[in-house]
Amino acid sequence: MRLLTDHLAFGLQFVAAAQLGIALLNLFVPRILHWKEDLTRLPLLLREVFQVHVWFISMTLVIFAVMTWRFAGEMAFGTNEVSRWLAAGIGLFWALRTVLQVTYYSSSHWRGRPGRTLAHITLLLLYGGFACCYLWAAFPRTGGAA
Amino acid sequence: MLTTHLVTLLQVAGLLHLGLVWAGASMPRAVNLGAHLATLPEFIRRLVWVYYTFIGFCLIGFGSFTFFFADTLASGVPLARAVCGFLCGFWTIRFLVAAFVFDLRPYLTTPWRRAGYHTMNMVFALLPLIYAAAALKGVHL
Repeated sequence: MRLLTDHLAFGLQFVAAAQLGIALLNLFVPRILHWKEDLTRLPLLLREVFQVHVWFISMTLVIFAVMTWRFAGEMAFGTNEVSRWLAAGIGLFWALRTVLQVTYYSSSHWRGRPGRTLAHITLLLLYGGFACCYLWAAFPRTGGAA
Repeated sequence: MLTTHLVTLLQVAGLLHLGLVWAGASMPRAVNLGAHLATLPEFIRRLVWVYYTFIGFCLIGFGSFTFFFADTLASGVPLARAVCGFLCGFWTIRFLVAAFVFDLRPYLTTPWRRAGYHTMNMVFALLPLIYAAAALKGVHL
């Protein structure tokens, strides 16, 4: 069990690094996908709201990433209730994101386009992996300090 | 500051998050968001709603966490201080955005909207102070 927990701590640090990457990438999504022209159709306030939402999603991911990196050991060992609830909250965040990837976004965005299909599957596995990692850390395990 | 006062302040901060969720939930109708988004391609439209929903979930999560773990967050242990430090940063930036980015004047057409706008700004100013107090607990400046 100790070995599994050590792996979980390493896994959480990997997840933290990946989240930092997604946070950074998220800031450039409108530019990468050439949305500037489409977004100019929105009134100024809504354009600003969209941009602020992009910043705050990235900021939230940075918070999750730094907290996870710094406290990976505490989360993995479930040494206190706060770290477990924090892991549960972030795990739910990613579980919901995984479900939305399948149920909310139309498959017409990626079906028949190999590059987009690959991106869709990669994101699905990534988000699902994040959720599993955090939810595993969230639940009390026998053999750990919890 | 006494720990009991800090716990109470953190619980108030937790409840204020729910007020912000309620204000955020009324935003689409106030600015006629659905009609404006209808002009966008489907993928961007859906992404906007996903961002909007996740910001809402984050606020519910931050608020619930703060309310139910107020005593732990006020304890000054490293994890609690880190959480409070980050939430202080989050709400400081949100306050700056409210002050310097958004121009809501065209939408403040009724006394209720004006009152809601000023109340929200006060909450944005208050939350960083509460979290800063918890993050700096026990630190002698």
